Amino acid sequence: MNPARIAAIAQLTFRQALRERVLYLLIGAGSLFIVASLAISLLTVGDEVKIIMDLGLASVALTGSLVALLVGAGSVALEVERRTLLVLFSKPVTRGEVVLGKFSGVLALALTNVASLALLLEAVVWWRTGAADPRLLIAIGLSAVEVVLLTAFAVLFSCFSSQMVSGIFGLGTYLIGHFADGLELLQAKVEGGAALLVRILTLVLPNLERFNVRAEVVHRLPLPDAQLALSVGYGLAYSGFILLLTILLFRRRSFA
Amino acid sequence: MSRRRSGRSVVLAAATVLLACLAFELGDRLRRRRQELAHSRLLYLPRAEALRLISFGFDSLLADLIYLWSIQYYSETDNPLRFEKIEHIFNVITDLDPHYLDVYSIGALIMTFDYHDPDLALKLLDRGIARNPQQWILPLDAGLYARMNRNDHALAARYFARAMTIPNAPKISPRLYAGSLEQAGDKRAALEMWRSIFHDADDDHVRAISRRRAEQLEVELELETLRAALSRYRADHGRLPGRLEALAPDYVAALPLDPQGQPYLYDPRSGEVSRAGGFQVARG
Amino acid sequence: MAAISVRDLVKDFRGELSLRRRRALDGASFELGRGEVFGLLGPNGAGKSTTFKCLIGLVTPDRGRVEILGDPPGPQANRRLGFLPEQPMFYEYLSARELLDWVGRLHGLDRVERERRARELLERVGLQGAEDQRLRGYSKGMLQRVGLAQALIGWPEILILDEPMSGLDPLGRHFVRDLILELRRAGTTVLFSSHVLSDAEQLCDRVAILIRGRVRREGTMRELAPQGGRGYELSLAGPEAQRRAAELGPVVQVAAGEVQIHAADEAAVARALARALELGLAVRAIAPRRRSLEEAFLDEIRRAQQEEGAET
Repeated sequence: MNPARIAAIAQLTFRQALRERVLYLLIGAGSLFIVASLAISLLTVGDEVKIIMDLGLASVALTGSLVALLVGAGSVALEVERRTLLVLFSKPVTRGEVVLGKFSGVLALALTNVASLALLLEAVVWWRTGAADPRLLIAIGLSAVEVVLLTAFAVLFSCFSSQMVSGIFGLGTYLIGHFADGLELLQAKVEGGAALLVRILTLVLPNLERFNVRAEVVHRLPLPDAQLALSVGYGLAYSGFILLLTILLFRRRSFA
Repeated sequence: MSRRRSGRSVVLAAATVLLACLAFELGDRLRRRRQELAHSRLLYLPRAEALRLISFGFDSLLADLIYLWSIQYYSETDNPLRFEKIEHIFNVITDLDPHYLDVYSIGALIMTFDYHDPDLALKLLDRGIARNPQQWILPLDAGLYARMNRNDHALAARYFARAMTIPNAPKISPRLYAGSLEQAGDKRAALEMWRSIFHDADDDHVRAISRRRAEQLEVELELETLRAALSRYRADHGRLPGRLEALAPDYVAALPLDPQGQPYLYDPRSGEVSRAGGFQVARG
Repeated sequence: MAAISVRDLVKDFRGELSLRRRRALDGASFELGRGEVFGLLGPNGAGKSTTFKCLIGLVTPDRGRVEILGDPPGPQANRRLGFLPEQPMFYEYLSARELLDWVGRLHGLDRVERERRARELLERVGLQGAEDQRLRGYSKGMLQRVGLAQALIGWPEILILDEPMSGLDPLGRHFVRDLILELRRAGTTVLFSSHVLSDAEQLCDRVAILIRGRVRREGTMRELAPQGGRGYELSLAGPEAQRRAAELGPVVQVAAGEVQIHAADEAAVARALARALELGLAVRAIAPRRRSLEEAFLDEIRRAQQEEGAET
């Protein structure tokens, strides 16, 4: 595992991703919502900052997640489709380095996004209240861990299917991951084969709600350090697992 | 050739203007009609559990948006049907975000003053209190509604008692409690409360108020004790005693003195007891 | 140690839509020595590209062994290899210089080395002046040159080229040929695939004929298309020649205004020549006839088809 080669691939991936139009659409929408929250907050009665924070945190989380999923979906798949992979694989790079390089590139892009929108949100909160709120960064930090995990999934899918299919699987993972409560309810209500399927889904797919502390941050409820540490650990461990799995499986893939 | 072209342009321009007018008129009609349709929209607001399942982690935001909408909705005073689902709507919002305090307060406000149903307001505030036990504003609000709109002072007292015990509750809370106890008729408890307020007071204003109230209650309680003793005396002896002193020690342990240390005045013919110095104290 | 050794390669692919397996390689074997120029020849669909993909480690064969300078395919072997795929696709938003720089990074060259090597190779392939344009705007010939340049970055001992001359104009083909010869002089081993046999005839030391996933014949040019003992060919030109050629001897070929006549031995040549002069026909050339590579090739195809016919 040579970090220089991983870095080279990561940089190329980053540069390639900057050319995806969907990226700018997502950033644009995210920024728009954050700024628009200023206007929307005027419509509410009571705590006006709450809606700015809710909308802002939601934008940051959602934009970061979608960038990770949609850009990640194309990271390997497009190289396969466009056959640029042939040149890459004829070079002295291991499959593991390719996976990590792609992952790093997409992650760098997604986290840059998250950071920019975070800055914008704090600026908006500053404008409104006269001071930036550092607690928001806790929620955003946990969203960033979610982004790491989603990037890993996106790259996994991208290594084995087309861009479109990877995108669909990625979005599916996101939706099911946030549907955790629903899955539990579902488990209680169905039987037999369907129950087994639901059980498998809950075990295999991550519970993305563990990275959601937005309500606590907005309402200034206590956030025990232990819980935060556990969530971060869970996210990073899971991501590591997915990456290793991807490398293991990618090693055995033949490309017609 | 140019005449035909200019003729066509005129027709085009006229058509454009016509369509613009049509669009404008239709838009206007739709706007007027919207108010009639608005309430039917609500029939389809799902329960909170259902909404939460599809909110994918953005419940708080969803609560904000529905709340925002509801504020606009409830300000449409020309729609008499808007209160049909008010309980459901506020339940949904507070289920999605149980810690959103403004919603309980504003919801209770609308329910009380627009819809004139303070019981519904209290129901909403009770939900809020259950989920936010450390927030004093909710029981305080509830106590005020109970007191001023429901005239249920015992209930108000319970709310104020609760508010009082929550850290950072405003200093007026114990006084509201004491006041409600009084109005509910529990003079002894009220007196104790006022005494305790007096004891804990850290400014003169509060001390003055609490002392006045305590004194007043003391007097009333003592007068009541005396009247009850007089009644028992008359029942036993068939007539009223000549002097108050006759009541001790059989009908009253000792003759109370008023807070100034003066004995109470007694008119043996009417059986009236009162306070010295011409301070007429109302009964009850 | 052989430069490349391929033994009994078997690879099946499962089609995307069909459940049936397609056997791309069916026990292919061949070997290259160091410093050789080797041609892997075969019709379309023979398995040439698949073989190359096995060599660079993109495809893992189901059975068989591949060795490249003693190593199995993979990053280790790729260090000493350069590869140019058929109809190469590069990252089109990069410029030639940026692409070479990036490839250099993958080879572990530091910045100074990379710059120098890139400049050197761009000049060598004739792309100076265009090195900062995006690859998207490159013509096919230019892309091929870039492809060669990127394959050469790491000073490879073995160069593998998949149909390097397909789609090129004569200038391009000439350039590639020259480059291959130059590399051979420098001691690089070159393996290329083609279905254009004349290229192989001109460049290769040895060839292998790959048909339906199996190598049918392997050997030097001389072994496959030996000279001598097969007579001579007379080439004549002109419309008159075309009409009267049959009088001189068996007609081998008529093409582009030229007619070729076969003569079995020197006596027959003399007779045919005399007759031609009598008739006033223009004789262009007299050459010993070599069993051309093309014939050997067609032979093998026919043989393969027969075998298949026997099997079914």
